[in-house]
Amino acid sequence: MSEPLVETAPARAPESIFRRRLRKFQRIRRGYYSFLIIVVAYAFSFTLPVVFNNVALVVKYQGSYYFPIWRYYPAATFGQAAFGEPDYRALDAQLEAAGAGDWAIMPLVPYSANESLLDQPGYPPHPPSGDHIFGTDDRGRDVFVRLAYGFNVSLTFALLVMLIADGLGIMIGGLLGYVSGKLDMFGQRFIEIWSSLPFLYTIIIVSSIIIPVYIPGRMLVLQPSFWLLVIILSAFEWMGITYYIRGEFYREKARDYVAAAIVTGVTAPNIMLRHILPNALTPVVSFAPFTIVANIGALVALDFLGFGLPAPTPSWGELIGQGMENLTKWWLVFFPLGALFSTLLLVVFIGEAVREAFDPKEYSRLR
Amino acid sequence: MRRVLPVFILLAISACGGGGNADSADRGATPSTNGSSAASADKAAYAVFPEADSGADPSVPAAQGGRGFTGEGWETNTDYDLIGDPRAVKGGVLRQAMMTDFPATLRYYGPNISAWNLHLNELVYEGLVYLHPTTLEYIPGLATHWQVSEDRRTFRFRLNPNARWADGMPVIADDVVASWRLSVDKSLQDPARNLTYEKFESPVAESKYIVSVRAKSDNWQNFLYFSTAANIGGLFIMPAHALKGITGDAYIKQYNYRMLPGSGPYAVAEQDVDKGRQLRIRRRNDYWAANHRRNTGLHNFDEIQQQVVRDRNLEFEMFKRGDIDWYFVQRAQMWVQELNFTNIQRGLNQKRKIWNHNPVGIAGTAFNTRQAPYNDVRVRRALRHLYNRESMVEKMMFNEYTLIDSFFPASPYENPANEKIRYSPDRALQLLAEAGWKERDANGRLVKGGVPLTIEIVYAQQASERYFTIFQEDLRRVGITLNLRFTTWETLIKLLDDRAFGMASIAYTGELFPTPDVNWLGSLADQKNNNNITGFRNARADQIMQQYQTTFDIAARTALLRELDRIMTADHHWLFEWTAPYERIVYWQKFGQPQGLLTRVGDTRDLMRLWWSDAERGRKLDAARKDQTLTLGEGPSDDRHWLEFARRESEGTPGAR
Repeated sequence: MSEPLVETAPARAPESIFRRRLRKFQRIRRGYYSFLIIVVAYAFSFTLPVVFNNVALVVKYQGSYYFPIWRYYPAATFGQAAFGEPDYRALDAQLEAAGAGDWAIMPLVPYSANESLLDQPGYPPHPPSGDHIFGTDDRGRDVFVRLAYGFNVSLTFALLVMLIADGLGIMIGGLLGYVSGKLDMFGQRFIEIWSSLPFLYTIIIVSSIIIPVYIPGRMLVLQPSFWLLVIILSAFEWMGITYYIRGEFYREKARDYVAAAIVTGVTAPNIMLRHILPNALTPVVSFAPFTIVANIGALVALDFLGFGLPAPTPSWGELIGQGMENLTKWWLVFFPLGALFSTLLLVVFIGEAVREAFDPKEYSRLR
Repeated sequence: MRRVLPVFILLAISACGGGGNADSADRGATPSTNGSSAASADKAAYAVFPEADSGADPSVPAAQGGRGFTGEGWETNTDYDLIGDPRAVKGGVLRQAMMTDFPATLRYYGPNISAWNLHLNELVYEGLVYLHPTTLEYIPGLATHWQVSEDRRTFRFRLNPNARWADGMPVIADDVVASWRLSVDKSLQDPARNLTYEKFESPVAESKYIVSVRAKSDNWQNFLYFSTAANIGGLFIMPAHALKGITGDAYIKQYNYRMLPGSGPYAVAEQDVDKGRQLRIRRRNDYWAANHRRNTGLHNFDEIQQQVVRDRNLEFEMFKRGDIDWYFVQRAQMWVQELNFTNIQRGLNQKRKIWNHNPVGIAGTAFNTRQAPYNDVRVRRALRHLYNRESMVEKMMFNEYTLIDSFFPASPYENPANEKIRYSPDRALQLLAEAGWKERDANGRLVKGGVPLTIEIVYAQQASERYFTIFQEDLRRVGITLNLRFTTWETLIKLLDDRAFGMASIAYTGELFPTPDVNWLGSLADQKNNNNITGFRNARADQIMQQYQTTFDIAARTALLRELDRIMTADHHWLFEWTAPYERIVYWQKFGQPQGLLTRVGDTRDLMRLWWSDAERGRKLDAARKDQTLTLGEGPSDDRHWLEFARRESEGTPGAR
């Protein structure tokens, strides 16, 4: 018997649309590298308290080891005459000068985001120098350190607002699209009314009424003021995505697979969550980077006006506001705007790439 | 009670650089360089009542203030010095920026007014008498003479028969009555004005030229507020014939952007109001008192253009370009570091720090002593010791500010014996320990009964934030948590009125004649919606404030205020900041100015009245703008004429003006 002439291809599972899209995203280099830069920078920003801080990581003093980065020690612990918290930079210099075998390991950049360095020569804002590469702000705080912390604040804020707002938008949009009828009609009208509220003014009014408590020394995500602003902004952001999700649900619920699911007795929540939703997420993913851009912009605008996160939260908007007040101090204008511009540009690059990768037309049967 | 609106620390933001010159007082004077310099500086050359009674209605007898009125038994003042510079010439345009948005109204009576409205109305309307800005003595205005009864409660005024409204009608006693009626009209929506003028019974027009009024109580302020309009925002006299049938409600609705005819030197016509953009204030050529001594050298510009510039940076750029004539320098940093550009070095732009005795008011943060932990004077005092004003003034304000240690700073009422509270963490912690704040939690925070010491400052001025974040860090180091709450101005006022705050950053404007009873009477402490925001109460202070109201002797009043100052300062209910007893401006070198540049107690708005367009300087400036090699001379940065004047005054030889 002769061998069959036709060579059969080895069995291979078909690649899912999502994987193909991901592969395509990786091929769009500008967007992909922007994504990597942002992810790495954002991950790094969580290590800032041990990299940019004025509190020593470890101190060896008179034979004992101390870990000030984790817990508070009074200044007297290290023989300092100061009250309350020790001056760890001075302690580091003091121990090194003493040469008695004691030491302190300071973070890479030994300045905190909220510390006013009024003991510098000259008057704040100080221009860039070796110690402060981006200079200091109008009260002597290191601009580089504040920008770095501000990056974490901005992105965390933008991601959280996006998650909450999109979650709400998907839920409401899905319900309106799937249930339709009167719920859809009234829901749509409510959304129209809610959308017409001037969001900035409303936030300024709400911020004036609700007391935004800032707890010094506490992590950002544990600050009540941070969550207050996240919730307020989310409350004004969820409407946009509902239009798309509602449309997607309207379209998908008419498809055969949904009819099949219904006749096999699948419950409505299950149909919505497990069958329709995965097929309706394209707009969410496509819009995500642009939502992040919008959220960062909103936070910057609010901080610029003074109604964002309360002082002394490191904030780009507040630094840009200082730049506006000190137009001749170029470092207060250039660096904050540069940081904002670079971040938004990278996120927009990601957005472009995601949109192209997720473009449904490429996989359309009609092509 | 008259309510004094708290205003934010605009004064405190200002500071300046440039060393003082011991001999700058003389050099600070900027004599005119045009032909008018031949004008006599002798006050006797300028009549107080130039046309006597020539305009009097012949039907009014002399005894009723008509022609032939002798003034016997009446008071007047014909010995006062010139206010303006007689060398001033009329003409030209002054272009300046409005610091804020376009005003909500041009009125001074009724709601939505500010200090700007007062200054506009001072140009358009007049009071019965004026305060001489150098001596604060009464001088004639619409009234030539005045009388105060034995019991100091009935006041009579004899109007100048020559006084005319802009529409040509004579100013008569009925006008005074009508102006008072408007001031007490409830529908005017001006409760502070209502309160001030309800202290009088209805004025009586005894004749066409004589009006009398009786105060309901014995208080030295009564005569001041009835007779004087300028400087204090008292009773502007308005025409009864135009006010006829106009209620307070109608007035505040119909006269927002049109003004009733005035008797003053300027007028604003409806077509000169370009809402949202510009306002033109034009000099009247038929002003009845233009040649009176009190107006000699004043009101020189033909037109004052006020442009709306909503951004301070833009305003500065407009100034540099020459679109506006002068710029008020708010920030020390600008004064020291930025005002050294070519036009300043060449003298085309002149910078001046003008020292005078303009009341500076108090700036700082008020404690709500009704609330814990601020109800403990030791805590309040400790917080004052932890506010490192010295460092802030030195490092952030170029060491150009004076620390405030009084409720009447830089005034004769300041008690020099007040304790000077300075930065001292040692003392602060000692006081806090005495108050029970001595334990610390695991985070190093001061606690009492397990509760950390947490305070809050509410503020509406973003510029204050840079000082508060430093305070916040300093407090954190010693174990105190400070929350900062930025809010709108409206919310801040609401919180203050409701007493719903812990600490609030505010300032009270300075007053020529302090009215402490409006702010600090103990009976106000437990009421809402008044100026005693801190809840201050002290029996001796109440006694002083009662006594103050009926003390007519200025020296005795000064002594009372000094004692009051000591008591209030020792209560530590205010976290004082800093102030600057001067005004800083930069201007194009094309004006003539009197010595001192401003009046003794005035602010930069004085230059609308005192300065003039100097033709020769204008020509030189034009030439220098075209030819980059020309210079006009930089001039001294400090003008200390009024400090020198005060020094000479204390030696008994003040000289003129």
